[in-house]
Amino acid sequence: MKFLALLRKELTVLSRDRLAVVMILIAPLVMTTVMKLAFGNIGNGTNLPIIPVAVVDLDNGQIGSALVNLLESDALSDLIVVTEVEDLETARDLLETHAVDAVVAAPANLTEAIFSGSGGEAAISVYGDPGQPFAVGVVRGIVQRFTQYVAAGSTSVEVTFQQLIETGRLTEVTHAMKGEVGERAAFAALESDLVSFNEVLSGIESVKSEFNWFKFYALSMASLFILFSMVTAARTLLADHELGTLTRMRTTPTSPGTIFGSKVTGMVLIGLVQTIILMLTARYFMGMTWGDPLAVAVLTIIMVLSAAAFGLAVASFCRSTAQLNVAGAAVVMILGAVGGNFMPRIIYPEIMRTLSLIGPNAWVIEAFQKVVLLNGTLSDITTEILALLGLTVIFSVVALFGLRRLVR
Amino acid sequence: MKPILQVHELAKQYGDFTAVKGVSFEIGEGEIFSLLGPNGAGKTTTISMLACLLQPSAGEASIAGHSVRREPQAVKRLIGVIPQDIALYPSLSARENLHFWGQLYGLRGKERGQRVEDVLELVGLRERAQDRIEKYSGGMKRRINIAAGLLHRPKIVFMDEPTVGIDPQSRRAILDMVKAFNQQGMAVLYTTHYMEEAEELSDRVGIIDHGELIAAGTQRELTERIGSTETLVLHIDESQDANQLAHALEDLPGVIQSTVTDHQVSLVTPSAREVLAGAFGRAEALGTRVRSIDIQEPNLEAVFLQVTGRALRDN
Repeated sequence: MKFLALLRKELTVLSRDRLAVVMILIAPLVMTTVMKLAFGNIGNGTNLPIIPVAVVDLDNGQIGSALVNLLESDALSDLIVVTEVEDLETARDLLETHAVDAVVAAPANLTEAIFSGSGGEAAISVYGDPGQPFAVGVVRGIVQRFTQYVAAGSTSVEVTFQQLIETGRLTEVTHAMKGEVGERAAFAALESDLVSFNEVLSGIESVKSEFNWFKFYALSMASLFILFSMVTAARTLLADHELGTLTRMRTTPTSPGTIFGSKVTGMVLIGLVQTIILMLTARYFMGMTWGDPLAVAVLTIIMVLSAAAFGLAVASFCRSTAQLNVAGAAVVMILGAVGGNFMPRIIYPEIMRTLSLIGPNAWVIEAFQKVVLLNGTLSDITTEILALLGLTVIFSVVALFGLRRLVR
Repeated sequence: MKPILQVHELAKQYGDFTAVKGVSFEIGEGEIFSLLGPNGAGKTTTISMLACLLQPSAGEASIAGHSVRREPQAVKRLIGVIPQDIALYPSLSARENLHFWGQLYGLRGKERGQRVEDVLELVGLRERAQDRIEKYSGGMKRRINIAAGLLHRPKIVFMDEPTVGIDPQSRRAILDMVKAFNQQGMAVLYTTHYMEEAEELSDRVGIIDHGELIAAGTQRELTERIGSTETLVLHIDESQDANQLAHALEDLPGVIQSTVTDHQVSLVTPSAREVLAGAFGRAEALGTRVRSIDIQEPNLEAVFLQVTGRALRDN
């Protein structure tokens, strides 16, 4: 009864707050519409420029050949154009003269290193033109997918080999034998598993064809504005403090848990409504598909929870609503830039990509891209979900600690 | 009279600073008790402890037998708290605000609806009940602020300086409201630094200063404490030195106490008429022009002056 009264009051007050309505409902819809108008016709691979790439195969083994074949395959022909060169020096010359945007180098003994189980020491390198960050990002993405595929194949061989030893079917093992058996098994796997290999190609083709700036920005805006909204909604807590209504509530027979619980529930409801409206608008007015419903639903809930905790944590550092308005906007904008809301994280340098994971938005974008762009399911975004839950806990602890001053 | 509130040696300490130093008093059912004291005397801290907003550092208080320390929820059902500042939602109408606060006090359905209309009637704002609070004048907001604390028919109402900073008309309305709901059987703990309010409303008054309850009783009991004294107030020009005059009048025969407030000097004396000529003589000797004089009968101001050595308005 009291909980519902508090919740209803919360929603009524927010609905009559013009700034809140603009930040929570109107701004995200306007931004998404603008993105649709600006980028709606760009994508589906049609408008992406073909990226010139040099490839150096110093391996001269199975893996190096597979890599070159992949880069030269028809599936990628409308995305990259490949020039094979003999050595790294020539490749670097091409890069420095801007003849290519990126160089892919398979190091010597790559195949042997991977089949003998020490693949980590011989990684495929990608060098890029700093002036072409997006092109370099795309090439890096292709190579990463290839590497993941090879690593998965190598691991399955290793597992098979271990099983042979454990079941006693191989009793005396030398390093040479292991390498030989592993190599044969891996070759067999690589040759017999062409279907899987084709899946890598089709996956890249799928990303390429599905990638579209509107989808990227729709996801980015959803993950960015939920942070804005939750910071805005958290203002009500400070506003209650400023108005004296929080103190007055504490003079009524209403428990602090009911008071704060209703606040958080109100924030979560607002976040869900905002996200659902954005999703439905993008779906029915802009033709965007959202992918696996279960994964989208779970991700949306976790996203809103983490954003609500984030909003309260930011509020806990502010002394007034005016301070929160300024500080909240600044923090969200910085987090948006770091977390990849304005440009794909794939083009960020490694250190920035790692740094971006401090905020929930990077995880949300990553997960939504897997679900929406790669047709991923709930199991594909387990890491992101767990990371978001972890951040939710951390933000909640910070918020609880900081907001205690309001009830002193 | 059966006590509804009992306070025993209640204290609040903040580090080295003691805001309230072991105050003790009682309020009977249906009684109006005023805590009279200057700003910073400890009135709000005392009310905050009684309203379960602050944990006392020492001592005990109970409302209808329920301890504020151990049974805060039971206490909160019995009290109505009317804060010093307006504590309402500006974007909600008066009626929406009252329904909301009624729900937090556990009122439901028709009973809540009836109580909301009753208190709107009491504060005279039934016809403006649909308007948002943000459109109200300061005085009207104060009245709704009071109404929100009366919805659940509390046994005792805590009012913390409800007339600070408002116009005389609204102040009059609020004082009349306090009398009206007191007549409905609600006891009142009223804090103020306006002597006139305490005199008009209170059955009993407690004088508080620097966290200590210095004196308590009916107005008659308190004024009897200072005997049959009068207060002679000399108003002087702003350009002249009141402190110098007060100092010069300290040893005037018949003067018990001499204090300064703004541009006036107050002399506590058994007979104002007997010291009047002497006071004028010394003022003239100092070159101080006395613009006007007042002679006050024994009142709470004089009591405060005598028990604290300072005038209420000094603060």
